[in-house]
Amino acid sequence: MNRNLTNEELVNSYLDNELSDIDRLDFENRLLHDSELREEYNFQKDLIEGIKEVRRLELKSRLSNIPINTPLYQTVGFKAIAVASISAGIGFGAYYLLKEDDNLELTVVDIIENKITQTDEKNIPVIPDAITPIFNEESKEEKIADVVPQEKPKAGIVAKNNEVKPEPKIIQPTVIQPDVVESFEDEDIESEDIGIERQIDNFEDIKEHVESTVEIATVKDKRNKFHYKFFENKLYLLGSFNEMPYEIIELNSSKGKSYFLYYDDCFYKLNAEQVKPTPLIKIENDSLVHELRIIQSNQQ
Amino acid sequence: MKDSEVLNKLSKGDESALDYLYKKYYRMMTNLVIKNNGTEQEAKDIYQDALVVFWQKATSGNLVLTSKISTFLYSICLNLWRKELERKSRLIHDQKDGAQYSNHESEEKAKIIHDCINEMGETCRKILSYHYFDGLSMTDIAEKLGYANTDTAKTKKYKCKQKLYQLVKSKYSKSDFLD
Repeated sequence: MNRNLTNEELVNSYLDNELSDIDRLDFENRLLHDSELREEYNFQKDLIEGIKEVRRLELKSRLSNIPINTPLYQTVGFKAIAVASISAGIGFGAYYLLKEDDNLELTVVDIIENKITQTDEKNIPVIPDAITPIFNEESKEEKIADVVPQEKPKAGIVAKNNEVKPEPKIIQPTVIQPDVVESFEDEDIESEDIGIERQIDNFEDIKEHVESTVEIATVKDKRNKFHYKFFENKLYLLGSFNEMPYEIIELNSSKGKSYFLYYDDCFYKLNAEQVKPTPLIKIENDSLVHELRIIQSNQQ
Repeated sequence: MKDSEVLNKLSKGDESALDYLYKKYYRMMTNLVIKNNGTEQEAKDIYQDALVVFWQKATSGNLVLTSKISTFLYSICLNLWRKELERKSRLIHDQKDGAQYSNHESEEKAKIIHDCINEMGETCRKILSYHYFDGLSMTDIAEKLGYANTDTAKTKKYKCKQKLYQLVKSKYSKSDFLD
């Protein structure tokens, strides 16, 4: 050890880890017997502790100044607004539901008209006299729209078009086809989930896994304590999900996206077609769990 | 922002990453304390302490995460809250005057040093904090404070430490600090 160093310099070098291993041992031995050195050591240690404490307080002060937005569902007025919103929602829902029904009927009419325009005149079936149309030629399209949805005389409409021979360009059909969802065929959640599990279990189709891109919201729900649902491309976790960390794993494969929830050291399947609150079912398949853990660790 | 990005920013002493984490996990971490007999204020304190611990580990470069940041933070909060509950429990049963006096004395010492640190310029405060608390390398400190090289940062740190040393010694008598 360099004996020319003052106690102050020696302690400074020791606290800054600038001494060699031998010098450190020597210093520590001296510390046991040299009271002056010990006093100097305690003094400088207090200084460093002070520096650390000031920095700790500075960081905490910085954090305290960050505004935290309380989630809307936890605010006092939320319940009142929620009740009003639900009532309004039911009203609007009923209104639009009825409106959608009207559109559906009009679409049917359009499709029938389209068929007529594309049909060869010779192939048009003979219409019985009894259902000869009653509309005037001038306002045929308007009346079809107005009258047909109420009475639904589809045969009558066909007869009308048959008689008038409408040109193809007059009416542009708008066919609204609903998205075909396979899961609608089988409403049994259990059997659906088993299918997904088997599919993912192979992991051959998976091209890549990415961090979840789906928007997530946690909602405290007394009735649904451990449920989920998807609505407008947003995942709602219903229950006390703010108490422990959770992860959403999104897998992209050739057959589409699959979602999994990791919570409390367990994995749960998430079916993106579930728009109603659905209970979370723990994945019991060990090989699938193992694969998910690998994916999870690779994501980090 | 991915965990790896956050960690990378933290390791360079980027405080905006700390702000990001604070907001992201505030409700989850504070709920942990609140659900375990803690008040909102206690929950906030514990969460802030946990983040400061996490910050210190991340900036010093000694942190190797084997879990998500949220999981790690959660475990820190849990440990800190357990310790706090134990401390509160001890406080109730500890009626020894001697211990109270000793705490008071150390608090006095700390206050004296705090005042001196706050009297120093901002640059000195930063360089000493970055070195002794954050554990940043001299290269990172030089970069953060805009110094030409690490030697400049080292010299500046030494001078600042000396300044604090002299300031504390000159203002207060030796007997205030030495046992």
